[in-house]
Amino acid sequence: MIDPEKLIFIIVSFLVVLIGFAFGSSFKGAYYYIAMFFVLITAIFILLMGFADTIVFPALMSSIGMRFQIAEGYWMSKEQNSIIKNVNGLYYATGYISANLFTYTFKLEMPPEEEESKMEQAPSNWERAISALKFPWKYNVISAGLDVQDIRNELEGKRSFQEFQLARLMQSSNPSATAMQDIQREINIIQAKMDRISGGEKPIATLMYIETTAVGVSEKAAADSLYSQISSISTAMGSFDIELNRIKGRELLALFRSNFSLQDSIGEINDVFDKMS
Amino acid sequence: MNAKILFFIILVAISAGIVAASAIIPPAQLPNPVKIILFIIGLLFDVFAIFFKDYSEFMIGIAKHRSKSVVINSEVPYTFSTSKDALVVKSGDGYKATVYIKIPVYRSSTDMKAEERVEFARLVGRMVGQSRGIARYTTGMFVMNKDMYIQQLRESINAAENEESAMVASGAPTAELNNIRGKLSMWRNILDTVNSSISYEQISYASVTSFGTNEFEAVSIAQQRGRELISGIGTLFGVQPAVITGNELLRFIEPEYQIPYSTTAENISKSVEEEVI
Repeated sequence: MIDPEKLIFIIVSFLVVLIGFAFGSSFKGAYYYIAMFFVLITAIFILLMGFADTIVFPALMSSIGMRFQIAEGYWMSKEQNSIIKNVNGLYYATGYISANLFTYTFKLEMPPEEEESKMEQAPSNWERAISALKFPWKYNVISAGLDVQDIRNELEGKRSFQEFQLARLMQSSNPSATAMQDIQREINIIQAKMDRISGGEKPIATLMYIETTAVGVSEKAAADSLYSQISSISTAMGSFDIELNRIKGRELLALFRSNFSLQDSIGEINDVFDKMS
Repeated sequence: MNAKILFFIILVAISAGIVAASAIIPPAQLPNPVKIILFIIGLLFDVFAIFFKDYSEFMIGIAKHRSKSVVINSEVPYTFSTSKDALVVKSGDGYKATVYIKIPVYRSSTDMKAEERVEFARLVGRMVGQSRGIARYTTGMFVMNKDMYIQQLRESINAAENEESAMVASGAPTAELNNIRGKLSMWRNILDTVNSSISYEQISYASVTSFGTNEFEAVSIAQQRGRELISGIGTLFGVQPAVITGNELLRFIEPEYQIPYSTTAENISKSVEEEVI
């Protein structure tokens, strides 16, 4: 789901596109087509920057060969997908991949019995995965406690909505058994989450990522080695059925900085990362 | 209002103004080619606005340096606190201090029953959810630093070689010579074995960051939060976590400490030798 704040920025930027579209019609002949062409290009660019900026910006900067120094001794690779450090002629390339692995999250859509079985398998799956990785890596979970009352209210709202849908379905002339089961399942999931809160567990927002460092005698050697390490991590983590994405651009810079100081608030984390759960 | 948002609004307003004005001004006052150029410049401001939202640092760097190597920041990313138990970063008008806590939990799923595995997964969940503010929990594989051990072995080999030479020169009995040669062979075999592969160790740690108007305040608050985490983790797992201090901290933040130089250099020269052969 798109971040509402991001959506506001896109809409505000689009106002100029609309103004351009409305006033551009005052141009005549070829000038009209030129104006419309640039309006269209601007619209596409805004959409790309709004929804896929972490892909667009690094690709754009990489295509013009731009390289950024982010601290003393640290550079971002041209592709903006790794942090490079040169120490005594050896190059260290550090890459990050988002990996929303942890099953403990209030956003997880899973009935209690499935969750139990996943939790039972988790430690052995984890050990199997990490034993296959023969290079240095780190798995990080940044967590932030959420307001219990807010989450409880949200869950109650969701449950009421599902119960309303169930009641409406039951009143219909030919209620579908499958649809009713699906709604009942949703209600059970929400109830399980509410029970966990009542049991004293705190709802949290999490950001999870894997960091790995490769070394090489040249920047390219280090980057190639890093690529192979990241591929190995993706293979090893296959048993967890999670989506792994290479982190680039501004998110990479934020994660690099978080090594030395974490973000102040959940709002700041949300501002920087699109992969918050 | 956030400076970034304000800047975004100003750029969008300028953009809208230029786009509208360029289209409204009659061709008698401004020729069409100039109007269309103004129109495109107006749209460019809109593109800059959406760029600035997330990439202000990058854009300011590009504007300042106007070359392919752009310096966003050339300062040291952190300093150590005077007590050497926290990393300190300047942040706005104050400082942010980050404390690292080692979590000595070494349990294998193979030693656990099914219900113990579920309980362990739940304990990890509780650990991640226990912090009121933002905290990071990390587990990872680190290259064991065998530099000291390798150095000791080399010294032992040198000492044994010197002893052997002295014995040969003084015409020592064969039994004593065989004894020292056996010792020498043993040290060399151990060195070969230690050098033959990289050893890894799994380390888990947590980190918390706090803000303070001065360095001392930031470090004190971070230490306090660190103590809260230590007590929570200690209660959950029945272990004694400890604050990481001094150079040990570097292992978690600097890539060259995560992969020790001599181990890496040895490995690279070996792989080059293998490739040549």
